[in-house]
Amino acid sequence: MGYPDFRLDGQVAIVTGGSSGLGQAGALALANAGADVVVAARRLPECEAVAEQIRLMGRRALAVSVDVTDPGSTRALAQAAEEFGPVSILFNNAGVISPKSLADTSAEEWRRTLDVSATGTFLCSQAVAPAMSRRGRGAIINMGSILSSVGMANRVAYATAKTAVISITRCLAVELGPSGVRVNAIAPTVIVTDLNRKLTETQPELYRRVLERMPLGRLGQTDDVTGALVFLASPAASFITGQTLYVDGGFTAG
Amino acid sequence: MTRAGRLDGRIALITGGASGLGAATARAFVREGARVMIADIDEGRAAELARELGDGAAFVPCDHTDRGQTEAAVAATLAAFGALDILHNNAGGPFAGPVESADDAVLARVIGVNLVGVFKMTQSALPALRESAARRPHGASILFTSSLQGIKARPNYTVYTASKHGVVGLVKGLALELAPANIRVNAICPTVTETPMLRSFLPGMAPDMDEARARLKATIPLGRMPEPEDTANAALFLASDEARMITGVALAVDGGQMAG
Ligand SMILES: NC(=O)c1ccc[n+]([C@@H]2O[C@H](COP(=O)([O-])OP(=O)(O)OC[C@H]3O[C@@H](n4cnc5c(N)ncnc54)[C@H](O)[C@@H]3O)[C@@H](O)[C@H]2O)c1
Repeated sequence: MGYPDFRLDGQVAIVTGGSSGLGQAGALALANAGADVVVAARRLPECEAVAEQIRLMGRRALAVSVDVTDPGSTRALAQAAEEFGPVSILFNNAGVISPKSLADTSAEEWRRTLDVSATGTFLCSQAVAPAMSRRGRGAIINMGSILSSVGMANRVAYATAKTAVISITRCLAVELGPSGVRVNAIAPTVIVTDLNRKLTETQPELYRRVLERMPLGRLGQTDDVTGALVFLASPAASFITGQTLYVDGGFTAG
Repeated sequence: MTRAGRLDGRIALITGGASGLGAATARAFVREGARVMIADIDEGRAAELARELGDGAAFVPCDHTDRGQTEAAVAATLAAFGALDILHNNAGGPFAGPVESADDAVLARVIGVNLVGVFKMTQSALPALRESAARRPHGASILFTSSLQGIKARPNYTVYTASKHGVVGLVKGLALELAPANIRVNAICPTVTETPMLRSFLPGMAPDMDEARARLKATIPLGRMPEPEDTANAALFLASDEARMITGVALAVDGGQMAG
């Protein structure tokens, strides 16, 4: 078999929530490893800005507006992406956080949080996987969290959504494995991005407690996570599926 | 095309590095720019692989269950390459059979090789690893070849399973203890792979080798057996700076067996 490389040359990747934070960093990292990238998020101008960064790196890029909670929209994304090129990588990264207590979380916020992370991962996979299966090749990487395996106060909706993502990962790994499609998750510790930068200021106590429990002694940066994404997408991980790779500085080991 | 190797300038010590998964990992590490000390009880094959790998590798005879020899292996690494950045505790030994058939000699051997030996090797390497971690921005790292049996069980492999679960406990404890020193600690958990060890393994599953292989394959969602390179690539990733935020994990390389 020789040594497959960690490169993604000639592959086409879709990144949801690709306009900012970990999605943007992931899109750039996949492009840096050689992939052409479909940057998908709700706001088209932001997607276009990331797509332009990718083109400057010498890769092809397409910006698509998508609402991952709407099956019509995810089907349109899959179709536009296939017209751009044969998709072999899907990074289900879109997510929203609802940093509220049991008492303060409304039914609507609960549904919205589960809808974006869990239903969004389900719908995008449902739209994109058939073409991967037909070609016998694909890697889906879902975005979990340390809250996929531990609990935290004021995170009941978010943690539930991120735990559902792990269950989707395992089920699809078993279901799509025979057709050559691998499905894994990455589960980062707190990575400082636009999603939570404000929270680190408004809930400093909470983030101080997280930091105290971080064996490696720091919160994460987006670049700490992109290596795991590229690895799981690449041929170097061609026998790894159904796994949740914790990128958490030891948080869940203790 | 030339490009920077993932492990340029790193120095690794791989136990059981002369054969199977260890040898595949030694080749991958050298290809990515590391220099590798192959520490193995089988001196002949260790020497042969070191010759094949050229300047990037050296070998030292080492039974990692003997503290004198683990100390000597670290000393040989420092003498040959000047430092130690990555310790890969890969040496291990199989046992298949019902739990009653594990007599005292079996227990001493399996637990000794798979658990006590890796403890000793790690203890011997820690001073050099701490020194390396203090020098490098992304620290040093320790890898363990546990097994899918380190996170899952299977009848007739109970002694092996207990020893490899022990390795995962060791990994988590060490990860927490060594994180402040910037030493990352992770396990790779491969499923049954085509290496010389396979011959000792498959008979636990079915009397006939082909039948055992077919049964095994049927439990793997990806529908094939892994290659030693699959495990080597996981080791390479976990040892590299790209994994700088990953410590205390047990990564299965199992084609989806754990998921289902
Ligand atoms: N092959 C598999 O299916 C499989 C699956 C999961 C885990 N593992 C684990 O992977 C590791 C490597 O196994 P492999 O399949 O490459 O087997 P292998 O037999 O090909 O290689 C093992 C190597 O370890 C060396 N060794 C044995 N005892 C030693 C000791 N006391 N000190 C130093 N070296 C010693 C041997 O000489 C040999 O070179 C083991 O820890 C094994 O338990 C193997």
